[in-house]
Amino acid sequence: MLISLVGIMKKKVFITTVLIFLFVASVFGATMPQSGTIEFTGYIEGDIYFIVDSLQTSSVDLLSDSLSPTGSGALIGKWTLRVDNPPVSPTKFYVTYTYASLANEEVDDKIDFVLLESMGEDEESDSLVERSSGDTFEITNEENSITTTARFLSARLTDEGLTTAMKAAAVEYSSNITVTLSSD
Amino acid sequence: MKKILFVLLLIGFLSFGLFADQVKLLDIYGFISDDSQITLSVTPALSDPIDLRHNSLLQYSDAGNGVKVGTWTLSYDDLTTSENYTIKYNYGALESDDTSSELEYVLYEKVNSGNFVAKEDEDTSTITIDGTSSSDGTASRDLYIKLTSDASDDVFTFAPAEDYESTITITLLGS
Repeated sequence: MLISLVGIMKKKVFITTVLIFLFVASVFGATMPQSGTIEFTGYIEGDIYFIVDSLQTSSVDLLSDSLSPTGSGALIGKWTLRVDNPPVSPTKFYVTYTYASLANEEVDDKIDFVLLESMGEDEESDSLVERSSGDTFEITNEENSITTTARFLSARLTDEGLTTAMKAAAVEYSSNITVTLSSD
Repeated sequence: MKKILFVLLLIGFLSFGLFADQVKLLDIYGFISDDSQITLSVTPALSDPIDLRHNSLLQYSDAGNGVKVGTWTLSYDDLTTSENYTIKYNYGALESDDTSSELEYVLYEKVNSGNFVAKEDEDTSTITIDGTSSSDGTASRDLYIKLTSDASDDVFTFAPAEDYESTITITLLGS
């Protein structure tokens, strides 16, 4: 009799437990919020554009007024620096000019000239900045800005260069001007 | 009599574990709720960080619908009625710790009609699942994002950074 009673009790306990479990699962299963996530990641890259254009389309007369030591110079080129997404800390960029005297293989003369830097194409003489070979132009970029800097380049003879130029006639005088960008 | 019954009950509980192997028959009665079989799953679509400046689909000015970032799916079994379920979206701006900058964006839900519906942070969607009709047992939505107008401008000026991140949380609130 005792074993029979124990058996009945086991059944009841089991059934009750299972029913309670199913009830709880049905009630809370429907209302329990479920969720999932999407991690969205990205990046921004910085870009630097540095372009040097030659604006001289033909050979120029070295004895013209514009190339004289007091003239406004002959327009020869332009450089443009654009910095997208500059770094958080201000960054300095340097534009350096390197060039030698005008030379000609036929004659042994070296005609000295000086590079003139200006913001516009037709600047007045007093707003021109003389840049000797090795000189550097400094640009500081600020955070959260697109910075575009451009300068026009002209050339005019020095006093010594004019004296040399007046010695002998010759064609195909030339000089290479190297414009170099560097940064901190 | 009460004492005897109590003792017998106590003996019954104590002997439950000892004589468990003597159980010969067990009948279990129960039911399964329709709602208990609804499951939400979320699947990201992008495995790599996205180029925030050069990806044209991401930009505000683009005529498209943005970049697909993931899909959520409701799976259901044994549903015999038509039920409405609520999905909630939570997300914040893309943030970079390295540069302490933020880029706002808008989440778009592509609905069954093919249209794209903008979902701001805390917005919800109601999904009707008709368990009485034959179906494959799932309902899903693709999610897309586009930068806001301001953010599309900012990506051209903000400092370079590789750690922009935002978490989109999709929650099934229930029926």
